[in-house]
Amino acid sequence: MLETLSLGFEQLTQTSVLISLLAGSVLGIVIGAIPGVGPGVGIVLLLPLTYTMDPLAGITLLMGLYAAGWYGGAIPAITINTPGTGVNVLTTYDGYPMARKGEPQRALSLAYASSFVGGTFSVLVLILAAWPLASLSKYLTSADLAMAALLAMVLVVVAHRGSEFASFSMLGLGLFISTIGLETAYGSPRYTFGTVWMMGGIPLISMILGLFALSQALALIFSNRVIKKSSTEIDRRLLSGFVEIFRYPKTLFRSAGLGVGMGILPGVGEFLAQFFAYTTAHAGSKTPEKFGRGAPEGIIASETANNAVPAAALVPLLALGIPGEAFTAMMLTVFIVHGVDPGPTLFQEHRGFVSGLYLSLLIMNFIILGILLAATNWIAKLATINDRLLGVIIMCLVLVGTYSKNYRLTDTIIAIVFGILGFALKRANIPMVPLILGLVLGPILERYLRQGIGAASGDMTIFVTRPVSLTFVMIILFLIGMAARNVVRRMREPA
Amino acid sequence: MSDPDDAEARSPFGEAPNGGRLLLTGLFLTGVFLLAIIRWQTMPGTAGQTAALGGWWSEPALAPATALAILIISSAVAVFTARRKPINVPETAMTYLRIGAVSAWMLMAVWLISITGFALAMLIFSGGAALMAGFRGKTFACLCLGTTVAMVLVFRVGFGIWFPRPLLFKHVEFGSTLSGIL
Repeated sequence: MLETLSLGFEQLTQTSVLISLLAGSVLGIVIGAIPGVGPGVGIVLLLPLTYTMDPLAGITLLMGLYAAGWYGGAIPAITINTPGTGVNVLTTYDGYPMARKGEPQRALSLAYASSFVGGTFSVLVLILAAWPLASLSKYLTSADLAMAALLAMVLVVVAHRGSEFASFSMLGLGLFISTIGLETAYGSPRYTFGTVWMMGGIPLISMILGLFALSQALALIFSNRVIKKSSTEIDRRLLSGFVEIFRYPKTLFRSAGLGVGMGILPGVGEFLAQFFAYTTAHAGSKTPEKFGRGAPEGIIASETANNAVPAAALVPLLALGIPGEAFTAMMLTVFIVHGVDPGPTLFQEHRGFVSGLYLSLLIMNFIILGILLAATNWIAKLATINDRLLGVIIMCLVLVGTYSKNYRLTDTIIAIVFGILGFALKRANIPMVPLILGLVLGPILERYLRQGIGAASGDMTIFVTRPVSLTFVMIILFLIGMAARNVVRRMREPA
Repeated sequence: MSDPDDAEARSPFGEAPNGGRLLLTGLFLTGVFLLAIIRWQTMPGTAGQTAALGGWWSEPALAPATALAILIISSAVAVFTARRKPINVPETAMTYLRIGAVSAWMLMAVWLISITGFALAMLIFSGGAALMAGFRGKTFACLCLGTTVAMVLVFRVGFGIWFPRPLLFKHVEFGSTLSGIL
């Protein structure tokens, strides 16, 4: 144990990791605090750079953006009633009214303290849960892992209530695109249209840059949104929340638990975590009438739950190699590029990496908190940056990101095509996450399915004769059944 | 569901597709076309992968066919379940026209990198993009120059990202250090 810990500290003392830790935290807060950008865009823009970094430094940088983004997003949610990221929506319900009542310090302090508890709690769960789960995964066969990957996809689709079919079509599109190129096992060209450049498949980084970053840049450039300036001055007395949150222990720990649970489950994520935490806090509150009017419990529930998700989302990725949502899917590509296999071997062969990652995630929460306590007033001003200006800057970054990888015009063309697709999907409110998951999980699913069915000489009953895969199949069927029931109910409802 | 990009568009309380029937129809038709040509686009590989040798499960067409089947069926159903929202044709056409113009400008900038070098291409691109975004006057100048300087400092100086030697520098001598940066 001590040896593993010292290995982790050794990893952490590398300059590149320390810089990533600090840079990720600062950038995450800044990006989170600017409405309309969000950590997703930041992660995508930095993804190409992380491929050239040491894996721990790369993952730390991305995790910094991921975790700090939710912290930073609370600032404009409270000061100007505009959530910095989508997952801070519910913070506006009580944060802004509290700020309007002349208590912006209290609201921000509650948000920071809750985020800190949620963030550190989920890192502790990651430390405790990932290794045992990875140890168990040694006993999983290809058939089991194929069904686990399929379950992740189904969960993502059914989580988009109201747009299950559109999500499913996005998943199909992602899966299809992932098959393009020279198939690795037998060297079969698929949908290459006789071209050489498509043999390597459609470059994932160009697609992701297009879908997430370029589409967002286009939306920002052609946006007419006017963000009001905040006249709120915030001083540095932001520690009172650390005492106040413990006056609501039930809300605090229930929200942290919900965040962690929903972070581990593929396809659920921050949105539903904060939604459930908020509604359960509302239902269990002694003063439910205060919700929406500046209730401290509302801020605690929302911020604890959404910050408990990032580290928890790493559990299935590290233990099974199966990402549950878009961010961890992007992080999986960093592992792939460096030839690091998540799963049981990761915990045996890269103990230093795992230990270093745990420590960096834990320390990250302290760094983020320190930055916020020292610089909230400045960060709050970032929220008023012009959307169109941000759009132009993001476009420049996309241009560099796509071209500098292979110096090919085709990569930029791909980014543009996917950028326009992403923009159209955004306008139509069709989710992109299933598309990303299809792109990343497609090859994994195909490999495990082939291995599983091949090992059983083509006997498909392999998926229902093994207890683990049978359990996954049952859950998949149950989820599909539930989704079908919801669809039928909706269709019967009068318009 | 953690979709990082739609902070404004989505609410956690409702996620029904807001129109998009045209897009879903396009996806459906693309899927049908791709499935129709699957026989010619999924060749047995150099390892002689056939049903007899590798088993039906390793047929190259299996995975794309399954994915396309999912795409076709679900997009067909989604077309009918998506909210019927009238499209403002002139506004939509204008938006996509502007997006087309920005995209073409972006491609031109990439092409320009090999001719004028990174810094100049970036200046031209940010200038065009800023104009299309509606910036004028001092803000326009500051944005173009600021973005270009920041990009050069971060990527060329900071990360040392290499770009092929541009055509311009073969004719004009800037000195090796400056050429390396620009």
